[in-house]
Amino acid sequence: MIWTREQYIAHCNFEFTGREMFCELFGPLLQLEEEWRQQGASEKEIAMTAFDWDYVLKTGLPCRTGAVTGLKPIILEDTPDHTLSIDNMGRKSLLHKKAATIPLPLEYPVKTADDWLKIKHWYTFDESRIDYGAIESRKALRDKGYLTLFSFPGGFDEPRQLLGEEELCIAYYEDPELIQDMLETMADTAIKVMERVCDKVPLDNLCVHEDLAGKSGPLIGPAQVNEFVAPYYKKVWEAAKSFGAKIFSQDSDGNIEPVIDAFYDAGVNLFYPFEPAAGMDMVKTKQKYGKKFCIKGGIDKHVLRKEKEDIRKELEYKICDITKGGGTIFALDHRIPNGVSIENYRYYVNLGREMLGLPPIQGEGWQRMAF
Amino acid sequence: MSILVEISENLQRGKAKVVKELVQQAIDQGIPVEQILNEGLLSGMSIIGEKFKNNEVYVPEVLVAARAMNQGTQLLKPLMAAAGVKAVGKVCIGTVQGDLHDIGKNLVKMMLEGKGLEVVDLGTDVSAETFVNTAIEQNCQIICCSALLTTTMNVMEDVVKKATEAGIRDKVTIMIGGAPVSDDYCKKIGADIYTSDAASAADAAVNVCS
Repeated sequence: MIWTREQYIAHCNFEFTGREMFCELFGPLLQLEEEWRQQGASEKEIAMTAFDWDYVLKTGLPCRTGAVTGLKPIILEDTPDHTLSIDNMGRKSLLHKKAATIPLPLEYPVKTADDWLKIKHWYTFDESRIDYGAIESRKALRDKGYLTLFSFPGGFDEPRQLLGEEELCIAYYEDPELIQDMLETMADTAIKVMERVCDKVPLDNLCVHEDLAGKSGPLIGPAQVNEFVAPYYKKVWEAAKSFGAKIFSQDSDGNIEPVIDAFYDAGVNLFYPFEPAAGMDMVKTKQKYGKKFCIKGGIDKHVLRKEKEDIRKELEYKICDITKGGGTIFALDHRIPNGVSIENYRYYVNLGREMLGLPPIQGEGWQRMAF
Repeated sequence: MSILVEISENLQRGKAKVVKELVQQAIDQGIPVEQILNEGLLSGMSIIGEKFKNNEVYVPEVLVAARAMNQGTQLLKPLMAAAGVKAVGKVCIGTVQGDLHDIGKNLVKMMLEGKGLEVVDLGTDVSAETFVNTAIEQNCQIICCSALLTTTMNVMEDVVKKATEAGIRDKVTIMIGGAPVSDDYCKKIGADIYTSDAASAADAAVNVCS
């Protein structure tokens, strides 16, 4: 079912809309498509549309808040196994094609404060960040019921792209002014961009990508969130709210539990994908936090590789009175992994719909809901 | 306050320069090298490891503490051989082939070193053959394999097979860790130990070597 903007916002804010929301956030992982073809899946199943997923029509606002480097990616070496390239941040990056979809940097552009000053202009405001010609068309989409999205650089993730994870963690202690300057620059630009676009097209959903946690917990603790990230988030979120935003969503895999309070205090009111394999348990979280924030995801993707009984148990645990009634968008916690049979996936979809009180599959449709 | 306690406490706060100065003072005072190592540096790192395991500190604190420890051990290393101080054990560690993620592996490495183990860091994108050959050539008691991707974790099973083929399976302990890995998976592929976090990995490695 296609949800309207109003329905989606209401659902995220714990207003029961008369229906639970059951989505597929990311779609299949690399290699799974071929596995499913061999198992006789239809092309519509592989494209996800056969499952009549819930989604909301959405549009990004026509602007850029992140790095505008002017650098063009260059492929240095391309083989059946890997691609070695220079990315648009000037970083040498390697993609192992058989294992990953995202290339990883082998080096980073900022090693010293001087390096940052040399590239700071990547992040400062410039009118060219806004596609003024596209504003009217986005406004027309919003008038039709589309949700408007506004993304800004992650308070942890973007400095990580510049420094690397370990150097960033050390910089919190060794060079805090460097990180503060980065985030102040990014906040200033995000707000200037927002002011120019959002007085013409209202903003619904502020989005940030962090991916700051692993299985054993977040890479940074509440102290770093409170000192560095929260002031940055608060500035941007206050501006976003003044332009109508009702949702502030954060994307982070891994176990974010130790920093949930800090991020909630900084304004985040929707967390996804809530990864059970990393210890995230949306039922327990809902018990603890009640209606403070919305959770999107939360169903263990790995269970789909097991027996049907395991899938049933996972759904029976996750779909309950605590999670139903608004404030939860039920979905797998990331891409559907390889090793999940099409038979198990069909079982998951049909059983999930049944438990959520949704009608059997009636039509077609899917859009990514990872935002 | 004893200078060894001062070393430990400053290490926990990541004060690398201070730790280096204090270790030099301890050496100059004639405190035995092994005592400086165990009661100063490793003691501090052990506390950080426990706090990390309990989510009382996070990666930034571990990194600055590990860096402070390195400053101290650099001064001690030349003296350790002469004093007959030996590592608790020897481990080779790497992220498996096809996988370039390294922070998890690096944290385990720091924790292992913090427990007094000698670590051969093979880096990322490491083949099963390299793990096994290194264990043979460097006489490692433990192979530690890390993977972040479901698409690369299968290499861990190859490491187990290669170790068996090379005839070292009963001499080497294979430890695995990483986001997609579990205790069930460890048992399924015939590896020996799965741990869910870096500090637990170091504790398990010490148990193997002691």
